[in-house]
Amino acid sequence: MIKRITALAACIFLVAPPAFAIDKVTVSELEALPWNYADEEVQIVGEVIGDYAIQATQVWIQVNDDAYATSPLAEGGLAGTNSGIGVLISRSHFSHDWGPPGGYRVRGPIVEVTGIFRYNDGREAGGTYIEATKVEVLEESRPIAAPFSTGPLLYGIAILALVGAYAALRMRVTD
Amino acid sequence: MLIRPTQDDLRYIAFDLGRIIAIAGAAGLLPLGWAIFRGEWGPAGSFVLMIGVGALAAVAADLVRPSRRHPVDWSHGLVVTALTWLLAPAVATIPLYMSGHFANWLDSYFDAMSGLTTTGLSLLQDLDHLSESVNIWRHTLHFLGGQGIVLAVLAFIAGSGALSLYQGEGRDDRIFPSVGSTARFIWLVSATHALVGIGALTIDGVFTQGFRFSRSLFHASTIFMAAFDTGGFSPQSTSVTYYHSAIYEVIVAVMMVAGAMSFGLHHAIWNRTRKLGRNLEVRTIIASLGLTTAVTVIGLGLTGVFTDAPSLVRRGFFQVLSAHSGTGFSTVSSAELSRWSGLAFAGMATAMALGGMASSTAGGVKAFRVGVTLKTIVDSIKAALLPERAIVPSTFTHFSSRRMTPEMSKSVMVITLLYIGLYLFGATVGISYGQPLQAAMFESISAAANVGLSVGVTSPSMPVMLELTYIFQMWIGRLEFIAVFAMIGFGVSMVAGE
Repeated sequence: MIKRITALAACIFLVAPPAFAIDKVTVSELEALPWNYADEEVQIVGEVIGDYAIQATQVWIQVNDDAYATSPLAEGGLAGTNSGIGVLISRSHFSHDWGPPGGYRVRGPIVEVTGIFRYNDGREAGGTYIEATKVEVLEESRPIAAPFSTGPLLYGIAILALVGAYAALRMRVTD
Repeated sequence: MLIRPTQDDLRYIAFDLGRIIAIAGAAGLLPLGWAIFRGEWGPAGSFVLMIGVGALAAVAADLVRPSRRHPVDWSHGLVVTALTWLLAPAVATIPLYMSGHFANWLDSYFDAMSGLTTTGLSLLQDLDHLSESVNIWRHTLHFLGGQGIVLAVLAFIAGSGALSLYQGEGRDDRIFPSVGSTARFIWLVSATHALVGIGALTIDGVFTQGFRFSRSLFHASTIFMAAFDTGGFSPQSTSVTYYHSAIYEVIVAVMMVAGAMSFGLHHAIWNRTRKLGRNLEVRTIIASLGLTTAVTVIGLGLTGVFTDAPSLVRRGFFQVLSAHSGTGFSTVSSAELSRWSGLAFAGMATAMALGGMASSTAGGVKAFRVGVTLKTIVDSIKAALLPERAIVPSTFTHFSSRRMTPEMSKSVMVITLLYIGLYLFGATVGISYGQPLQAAMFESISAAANVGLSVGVTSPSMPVMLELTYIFQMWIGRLEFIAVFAMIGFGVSMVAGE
């Protein structure tokens, strides 16, 4: 009997994930059920966008894990609105080698953030964010091609030239 | 009997309309300069095209120029204003649509209308990768719309009939006898606030938050325009949550309050006018802001969303102030906001519906109307309780002592009822598309009162009819009905007039 129970316990231990496993989540999941993850260790993967807000001992970044993180608009087309969360990291975890954060013509660095999810947290006067304990850069930032179409510019210049010619003619007639 | 408009009537309207659209198009010079400065050549081309289209409107205006300048009469002014607010977004949408961040033209028109009406709802996708110049343009739309497109023109070309154009945009009080001087004063106030607001936000961005100077200036410029003009667009998808700074939030809050104040009150403060505490509108807005904040904070406290007082007050007050001023900034996510139920929802919805002060950049019913409505109710109760022959003196202070007339009460209550009807109309359409009552009501009030807070109903996947409904609500809500009614009446008389 004791052998059977021991074997069963061993099976459960091998099959079931250990209790201290980190939740790999998306920002949408965090927003949908924040109380499930409050003050728990979570892990997200996404693109750093916007700015590096570099302060004395810490850096604020925003990490988006939407479709544009893996397939930028110029390459994969429209895929809905952005989905991101603020991440607080210590200065020691940050490096300028990550490259520029995501924005126009830039796909920001892809990072794997592990940290504690803070929901309506009193330390940030009710803010919701991830307090990172580990940040791993999976991919550095890279430029995104922004195709430049000369059409609108040429049409615009042509229209303005026509309007200018009309104005000149009008002034001559008035004189 | 309806009188059919003459060809001259149409010429006068087309002439003024063309000139105003041309100036709106010329506003694209600001983002064009930014695009050239930042080397954003794609967006630069779209701005040149838009300026060109605006210039074409000027040519069209010149071609229909009436041979003899006729003073713009009341109905012409209102029709021009209503049409301006329909056509200007169509021109303003050119760079938005060409940015490639919208699924279709209607979505970009929605954003242009939302920008100009200082609503702040958006169907733009992947905001976080949008070019800075197009972002500047979105916020310039707030500034242009908040100051009033027509007002912008009045500052330069005010002439006879200017009053109807001015009041058509929902502005009631003239600070100076001349509308042109009033318009110039409004621009002076705005420029002063811009200098102070952008400066303060830039300094906080660099020294508190650690942004680079150029980025801090960019954030400050866009956030200022959205805050002071009670718009609500933001350069990043997470709105003001993006800035993890209490000081930043305080500066933004001050700008929102300044934007929700009437320019008459600005003038009174600049001239150190005393006894502002007696002003009916000031008293009403202080009372309603206090009440809705208390209701929301108590509601949040009861639901246990925030567990400590500083969080409750900071998040609760900012959201209510944003709602009451009609700005639409948020420091919580849409998902979080949609969970604010019960008293918290009631406080937020009421704050949005009431709006800011008359003749400000805010939308909604407006504090002046709320004050007059409440005073009318109180006076009616007093009259009912007193002996039949007793006379209830009905006066109030609004910069000067004013007598409440039955006509004033009637017109105020009609507009108030129209707003309530508009809120219910949008909510009904939302419900018919399967939205829950609370979400449908919240989003409808947000659109009609030009607030811009969202619980997620407004999205690129929303039904076209709901999108058109919100566009209509933003437009008619911004113009406070009268100009739109005049335009409809003009259209009817063109068809059925004799």
